[in-house]
Amino acid sequence: MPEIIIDGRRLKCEEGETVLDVCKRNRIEVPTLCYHEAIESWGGCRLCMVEISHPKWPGWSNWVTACLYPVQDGLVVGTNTTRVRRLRATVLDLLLARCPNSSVIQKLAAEYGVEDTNYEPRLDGDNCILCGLCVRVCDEVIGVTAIGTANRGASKEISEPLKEPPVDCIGCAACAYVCPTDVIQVIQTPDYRVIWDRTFDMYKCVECGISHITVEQKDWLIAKDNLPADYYDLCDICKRKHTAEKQKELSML
Amino acid sequence: MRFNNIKQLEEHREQALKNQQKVKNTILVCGGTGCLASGARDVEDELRKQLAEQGIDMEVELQVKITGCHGFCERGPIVSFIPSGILYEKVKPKHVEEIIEKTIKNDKIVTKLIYKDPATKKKVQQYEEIPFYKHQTRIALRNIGQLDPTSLDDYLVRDGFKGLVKALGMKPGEIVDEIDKSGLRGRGGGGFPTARKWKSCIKAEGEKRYIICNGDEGDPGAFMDRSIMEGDPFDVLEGMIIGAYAIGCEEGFIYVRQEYPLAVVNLRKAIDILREVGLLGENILGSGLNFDIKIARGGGAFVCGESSALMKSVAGKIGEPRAKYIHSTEKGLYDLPTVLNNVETFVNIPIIIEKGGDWFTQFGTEKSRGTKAFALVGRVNNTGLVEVPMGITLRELIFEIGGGIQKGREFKAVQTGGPSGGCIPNELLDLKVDFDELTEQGSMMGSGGMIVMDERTCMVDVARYFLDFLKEESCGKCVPCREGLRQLTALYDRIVAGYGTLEDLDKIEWLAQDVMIGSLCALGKSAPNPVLSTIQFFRDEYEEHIRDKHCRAGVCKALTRLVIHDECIACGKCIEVCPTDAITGAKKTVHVLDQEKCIACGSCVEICPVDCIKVEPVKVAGEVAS
Amino acid sequence: MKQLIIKPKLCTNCHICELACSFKHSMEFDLAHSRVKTIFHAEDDLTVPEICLQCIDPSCMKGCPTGALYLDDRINCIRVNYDSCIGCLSCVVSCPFGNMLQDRSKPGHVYKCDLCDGDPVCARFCPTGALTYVEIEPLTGSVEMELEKVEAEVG
Repeated sequence: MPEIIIDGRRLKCEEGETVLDVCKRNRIEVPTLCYHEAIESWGGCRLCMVEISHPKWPGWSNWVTACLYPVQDGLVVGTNTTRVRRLRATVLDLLLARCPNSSVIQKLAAEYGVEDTNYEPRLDGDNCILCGLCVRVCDEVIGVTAIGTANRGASKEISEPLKEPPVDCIGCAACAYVCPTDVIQVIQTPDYRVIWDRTFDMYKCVECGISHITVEQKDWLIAKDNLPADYYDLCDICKRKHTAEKQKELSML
Repeated sequence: MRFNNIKQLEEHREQALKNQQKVKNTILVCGGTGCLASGARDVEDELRKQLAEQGIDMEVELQVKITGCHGFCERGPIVSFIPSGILYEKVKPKHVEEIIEKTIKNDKIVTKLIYKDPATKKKVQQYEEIPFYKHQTRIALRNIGQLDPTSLDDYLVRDGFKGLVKALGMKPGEIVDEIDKSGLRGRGGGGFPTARKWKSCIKAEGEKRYIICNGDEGDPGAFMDRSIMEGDPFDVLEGMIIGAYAIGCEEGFIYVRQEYPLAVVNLRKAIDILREVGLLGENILGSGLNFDIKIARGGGAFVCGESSALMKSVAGKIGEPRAKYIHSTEKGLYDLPTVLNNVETFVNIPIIIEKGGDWFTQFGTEKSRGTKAFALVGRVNNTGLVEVPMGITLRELIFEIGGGIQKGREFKAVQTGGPSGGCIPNELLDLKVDFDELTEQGSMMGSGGMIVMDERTCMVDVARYFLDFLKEESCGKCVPCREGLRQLTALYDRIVAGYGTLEDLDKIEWLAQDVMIGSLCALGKSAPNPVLSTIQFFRDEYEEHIRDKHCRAGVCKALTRLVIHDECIACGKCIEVCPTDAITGAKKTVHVLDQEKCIACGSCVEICPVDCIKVEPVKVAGEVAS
Repeated sequence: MKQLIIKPKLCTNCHICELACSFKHSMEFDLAHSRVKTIFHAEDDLTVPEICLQCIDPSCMKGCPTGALYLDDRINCIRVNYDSCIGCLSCVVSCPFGNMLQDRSKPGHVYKCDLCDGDPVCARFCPTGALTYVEIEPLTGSVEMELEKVEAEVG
């Protein structure tokens, strides 16, 4: 079993783990923005950069993203060195220039001593930091790939295909849930949900009429797992009532 | 026709050689992009037309071939002759009649079409004697310009597939050892030892392996790979087949940019021919090797030249790089072990196998063996495609092969390694061109772009130009590259517009360093090279821009004030060229320039015979409208 | 292994379990935040405390696309790893018993009984023993036999 040293602490780890996995397990603070446990690590936000060296290669050191770097026995990691802090401060400074109104970024940047951005702020911009979590969750986890990115470089943006309401979207709102800066707008009423400029009817409980998911998500789940058409007909509250009914009968025996 | 074994291939080669010997004269018309643009196709048509009219047989005794790029693009269209070795430059259709009459029929030379050395003023008629070619060592480019790229017979006559034949008699491990012995390093820019890459792929576990040829040459001004793919496609394919045999793979891809249509056409033709004769497909030459190659066309994104982005693109996904803490030799295309080499690397393989690794080590330096092709462009006299042994100095490359700076101006800097290379100043001109020495000076050899700049180039503007290019070409995945380059460009825009401060300069340096170590892929990591190297070597120019509001090269329009001095001979030439009629004047009076109308385009400076129009600082930022 | 045992006949519908649960998990006494819910059947004058059954083959876990639901085998409890949750509510709609809950004030936020990490407050504060957290023998025999055993115990 490999052992690595993080900030002077000798820590046991498993083969195939990343440096961030070990940090998380040992409650070593490493900031992240584009990382999510359920989604494959991406290494885009560059906030989790750490400094590494190895006794086997004296004099060698490098800066890597903890979320992707696989552990190897003897690795020495610094999560809070001066250079790492400077890098994070620059990244946050750049993000603050991109999204000057995002409270999440403001707070993180302040932690690294950046109160106001040193660069040219984007005044008309939204709070999207292009971490790509929404696109990746839709593609990798949900599996519908309803949204993507458009353009590249400085003009890159998260976008629906052809900037029209996405036809493949099932309205599950997982993208909005994982968004670290809460950019994705969801309008939720008992009857419908609006996301990505598309309106989805909610699938209502046949007994009480409250709803959890959209009709599209219901159809998609049923088709995916080959379930009976009425599988999702009841809400959690009504299902509970039915369960209680059964338990009552059981205890009346 | 299908070669089922090596013997049949060799028999065919003999036959092709015999046919070749019958040909008394071959006319090679350069079909490189440069020559095509200057009308090579018209020359070819005219040649064929007139030869046909005169009833000259163009099948057996005389052949007209349109070839790949000769490299001497400055002098195109180029027409050369085999076996006489004569080279004509700047040939126009009107010259065809004379060429046929004198050179083809009577073995005489058309004097006005041969190259004149500007230094010695001597006329040079032989291809090999022209200084541009004389100092070159052509290995990767050995066939280009010498054969019809779509003819298998031409390739076989020039020893084609000898490397493959020899390789098939070796064990895969022996091939890798031979490459190892040669010291070949990747020509795409990274300079990773090819043999080590192959070995690591062979070691990696996976149900399948892939081999990919990187033909996504995106550096502005570079066209080495393009010329090879257009002018010698069989060589690339042979290198890939040998590679496939060595690492044990059955499927290969060539990733070619959308912008290289001729490369795609020629490669496709070559692949079709090889499939037909059984050099691609199942059981190649009876050796049991099954291998086929597909062409994947890129959409023209610069970042797709990066290995992991390229593999994503081949797989049909968005071309975004990934962190390569696990190498693509282990987890590459479709997460399977993949070897990715550059076009130029692959064309070196067949000849190394044919002649042996030791033969290759005679070229180049201890750590950088062999030769390297460069696209020599910019303010140099002989622009074009050159191949030189590594270890040659920049001075030799620019002044001997390149023939020095245009119009006798002063050399200022050379930018090596494409947009993310650094600028090397005059005092470092004796640096050796190889993988390591340039890197030490904050530049890199890269894939081989070489842009020469003279005194009329503004170094601040150069850095800004490349930043702007990379800002647009960044994939936008990681923050330092996407946001950092945007902010760097914004800071440069301030300086160029005359609003920069010395604080901005510090900010640029600080941010550039962070972009360098913070970015995800090589694009971002090397993007600050032009910034940091120009600041290192040309800091005074930056300070001039900031403090004195002066761009000495007269490139940054907002910082350029053109003034006509008293030496003016009142020739009126500047009045003629001025696009905004800003200059007025009569005979025998010093001309007057109206600053209000002047857009500082520099046309007058260019044309003035006595250099009396000078670039002077503006007094206040914004004084000259940009 | 300890298990949470429900004995509806002992329940007096006093809501103490719900209040305790709510306070433990959200620091406020709000029945809407409780993982346990008492459901009163007026016609039979019987209240059933309803709480996650910690199924052996849980539908919620199967429905989750990210593996955010996992079995904590120290206490035999299905738990939510919020770092992996993407808020798609697949688990809520998948649970056939209605014991996977959604926080209606926070879109996408799900919660369920976590057995208070081995010391469920509902059982601790239940004054009548309708909810108990006790050591039981693992089920081994047929369903009928087990039912008999449970009936004998419940009385």
